Amino acid sequence: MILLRRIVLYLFTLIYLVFCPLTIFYALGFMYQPGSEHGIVKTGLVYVSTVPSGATVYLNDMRYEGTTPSVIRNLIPGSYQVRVELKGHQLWNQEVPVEAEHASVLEKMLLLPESLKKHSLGAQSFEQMTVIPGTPFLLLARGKKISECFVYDLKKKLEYPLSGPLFEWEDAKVLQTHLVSRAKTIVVKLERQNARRFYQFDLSLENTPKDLTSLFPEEPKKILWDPSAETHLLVFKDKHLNYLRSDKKTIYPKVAGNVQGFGVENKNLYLLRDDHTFAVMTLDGRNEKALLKDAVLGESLFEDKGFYDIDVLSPELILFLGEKGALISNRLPYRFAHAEVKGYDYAPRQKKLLVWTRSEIGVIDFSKAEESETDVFEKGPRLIWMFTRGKSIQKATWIYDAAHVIFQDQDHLVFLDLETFNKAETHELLQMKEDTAYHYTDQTGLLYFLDRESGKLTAAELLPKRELILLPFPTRQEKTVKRRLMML
Amino acid sequence: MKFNFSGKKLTGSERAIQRFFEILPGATSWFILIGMTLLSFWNPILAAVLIIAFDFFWILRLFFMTLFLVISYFRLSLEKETDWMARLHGLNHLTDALTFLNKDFGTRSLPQKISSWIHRKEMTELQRSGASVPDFKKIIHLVLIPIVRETPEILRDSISSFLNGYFPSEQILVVIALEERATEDVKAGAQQMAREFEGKFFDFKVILHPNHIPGEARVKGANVTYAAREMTRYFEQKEILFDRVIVSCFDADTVVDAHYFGCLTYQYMVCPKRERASFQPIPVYHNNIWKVPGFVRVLETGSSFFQLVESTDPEKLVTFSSHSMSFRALVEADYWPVDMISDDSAIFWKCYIHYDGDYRVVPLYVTVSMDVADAGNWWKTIVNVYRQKRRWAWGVENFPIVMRAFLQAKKIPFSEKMGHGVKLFEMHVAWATWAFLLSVIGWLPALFAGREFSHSVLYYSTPRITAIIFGFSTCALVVTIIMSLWLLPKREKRDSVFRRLGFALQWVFVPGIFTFLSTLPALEAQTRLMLGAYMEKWGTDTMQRPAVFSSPAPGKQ
Repeated sequence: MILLRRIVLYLFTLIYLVFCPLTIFYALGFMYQPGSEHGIVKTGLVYVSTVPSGATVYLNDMRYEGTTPSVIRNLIPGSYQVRVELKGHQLWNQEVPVEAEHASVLEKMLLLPESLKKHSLGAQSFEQMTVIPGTPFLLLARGKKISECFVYDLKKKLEYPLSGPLFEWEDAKVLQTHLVSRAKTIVVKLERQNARRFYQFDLSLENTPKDLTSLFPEEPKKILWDPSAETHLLVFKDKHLNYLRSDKKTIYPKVAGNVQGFGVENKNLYLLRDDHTFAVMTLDGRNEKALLKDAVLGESLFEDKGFYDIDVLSPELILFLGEKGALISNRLPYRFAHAEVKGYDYAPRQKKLLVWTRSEIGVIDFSKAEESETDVFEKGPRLIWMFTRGKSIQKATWIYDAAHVIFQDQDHLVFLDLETFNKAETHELLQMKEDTAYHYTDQTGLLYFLDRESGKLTAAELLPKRELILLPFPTRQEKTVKRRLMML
Repeated sequence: MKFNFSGKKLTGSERAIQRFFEILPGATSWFILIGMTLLSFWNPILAAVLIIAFDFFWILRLFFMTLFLVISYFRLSLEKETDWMARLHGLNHLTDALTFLNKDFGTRSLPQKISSWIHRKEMTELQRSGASVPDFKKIIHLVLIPIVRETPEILRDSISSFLNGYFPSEQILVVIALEERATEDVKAGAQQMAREFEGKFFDFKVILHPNHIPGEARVKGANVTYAAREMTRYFEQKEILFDRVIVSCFDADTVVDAHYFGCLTYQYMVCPKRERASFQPIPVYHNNIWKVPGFVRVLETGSSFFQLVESTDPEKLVTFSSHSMSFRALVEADYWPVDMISDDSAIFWKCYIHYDGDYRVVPLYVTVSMDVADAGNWWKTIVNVYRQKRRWAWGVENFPIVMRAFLQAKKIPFSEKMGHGVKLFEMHVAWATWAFLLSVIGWLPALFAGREFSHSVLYYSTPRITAIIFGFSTCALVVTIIMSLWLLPKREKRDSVFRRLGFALQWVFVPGIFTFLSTLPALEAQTRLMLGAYMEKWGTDTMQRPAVFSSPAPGKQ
């Protein structure tokens, strides 16, 4: 028994000493290839994961066994033509580089259907659709009157009038709508027989709106409120801020002066003054704490005289969007765009910011900073323009876990494929009703828009529901934070 | 070698060396677990490579153990029907027995042939060695049963098994080693046993171990040592040579196989240096195995399997739980330690060091059955099993003492010291770490993969390789399941196919069971030793037999 044990032990030891290193080398991508230098080559691999899954992958016209998600191993470094086919979906065909010991990962490939499956969500036709970002509400308007305005609740799949039949001003004309991202109330300026009033509507149910007219002695330039405190409003006019309590019908005039920009987050007021100082305080203007003490930096950053919208996207990231489209942040390199930025969409989990101008779409990846082997100065992330051929881009949105983008160019809805090793490719999805908006959420994978012909609210499936990413940890409700639409 | 086999009351450099070796196993285990976790963050590529290397090592080790488990089980089943008494008679008439064996060989079945072949080999070696063979009729088996809370119900089955065996009970001397601190009921129970079994053995004694003997902790070893010392005087008075006495130290719930004493006597007689050997049977936990939850069954069967595998390596075998040895060796090595919990393994090391390495353990391919630690409900049973495993893992307390002894033992060859030291160390560290590495830590590099790692070939290769390795482990698992079904005793009532399938499927939960009820207690035991929080001994409940050992405070004077 002792002898047998020793023999087996030596044999197993030999097996381990021979095969374990071979296994590790194989795992690292080394492969034996006769004829090559030293007989060993370092290989790479291509990983393809599609939504929907089950697609067939071809590498240089050779079909790979199995369907997606696929790992194609033991590839000699070089370029490969990768073609992905799935019945009922558009073909995906691109050149993919393979490097030694590296994986070329295409893990969020979205295969677009050859034709989008659409379905109407109601019988009515509408002229206008407004999205309340961060909420399940859509504002739909058949005409200019308040009685012609409706709310569609995407969660409950219900459509109901914005104002009830008992609303005394139901025949008033809507002049302006103020809304805030993630807030379930809106403030509407109405006009009837030369009289003007301001009302606050709660979108979550049909009820009598609150008359706020007395709180607006003058025409506000901008109204803002914290979604977590919707009865606390801030009104901007003539470089000062008034703080209003719609529940108590009280005004606190001029809580802040010399205002060049402001934003609200988590019951705090973030204030940029025209002396280029930046501070945070309570909504009523108290307990001020300076956030930017370097006046020189402030002056160089906020050289434009115009107004800045301030958006606190996270405790570490604050954005300033100037009137002329300058995009500034508290993160290096601070100024990401000098002008023309019209809006942005932030994906907090991936820390990626989608930025658009009239003709361009760009991405800033805050999760990684640019590094240079020669340059000793820290650079921070860069704004990289992924698409530059737009005509009149109205809006852009992250889709599929911030892996791709859809954007509205005039009345065309376009898909921008970022999961590529080459230039980002575009695919037209559909045409919407002119001068209306669209809405998309990863939670349902549905695109909401007004049909071009019928004007009906329509939903189209962009991301198959069953394929939605199951995130490893519990997450907050909404994954993207959209820029607040200023006014309609 | 004269060596004080104790970790207590050391001073100066001895104390420092003792503490160093007390800290080493626990520190190594924690270093591995924490180190691999941190490495998964900081350098996932290196962590993944190490995990592949470890998984590969583990699967080979698993195959190795499974192979020898099968061999060992085969050997155990070979000897099930062996007529040990006939062999014993033959040993006293070697030449005739060998002649008979050669003639009779052709008429036997294959297992019988193999068993006979082994027997013939042993007898031939004995004949060649020229060693004198004692008359087995003059061998006395001294059986020590330490008790503190055990009731007659527990003892009766155990003692009855001595009577019901094939070996003549007139050559068995039963001693109940009773703690003074036992309750009056327990004391009365011991006396009741003495009356019940009076005249059925060579002798039946109840020896009371007084409390508070200086230098003794409240451990089983102190109790049985006291009883053994008393029996030393007994044998001297009766002029019984120690060479004729084989001492067995059993737990109160130990039920021996009918062949046990016959097999033991045979192995003692054929052993070339019988006074330099301990004899280790295969412990099984069959007394109440069908009355306990499935996860306990899996765990205890795993323990039996471990001993089966260990029995195939007699060069490194160490005594565990119920075992037997030469009484002379026990006396010369100064009995069991009186201040250590793991007296069962410590006595081997004590003898090994005392005889400068000229000591070994002979495996006995016969079983002794004990109770599973069951407490009547799942939660209490889990707690009791956890405590039991922790007590077993406390065997790591031998490591520092053995290493200290090895540093002083000039006569033991370095290779042997190295072999034993490495095995002792590796066994305990593996016990405390492997399950965590396999079930939890091995997945961390993929879980915490940053972009650099997640875009490497290794990131995609590792799960595939791991899956293949674990797939291979399924083969070993299947073998283990089959072996467990063979090893388990037959149930009183026949089970349906589904129920039997259920018994087999319980093994699928091995990773979770072993992680929490084997590895975790081992890690705790090592951590306690590392921190100097020396353990008390815990009693474990049994469902029908309510009391076992006390919980002595270590170091109590």
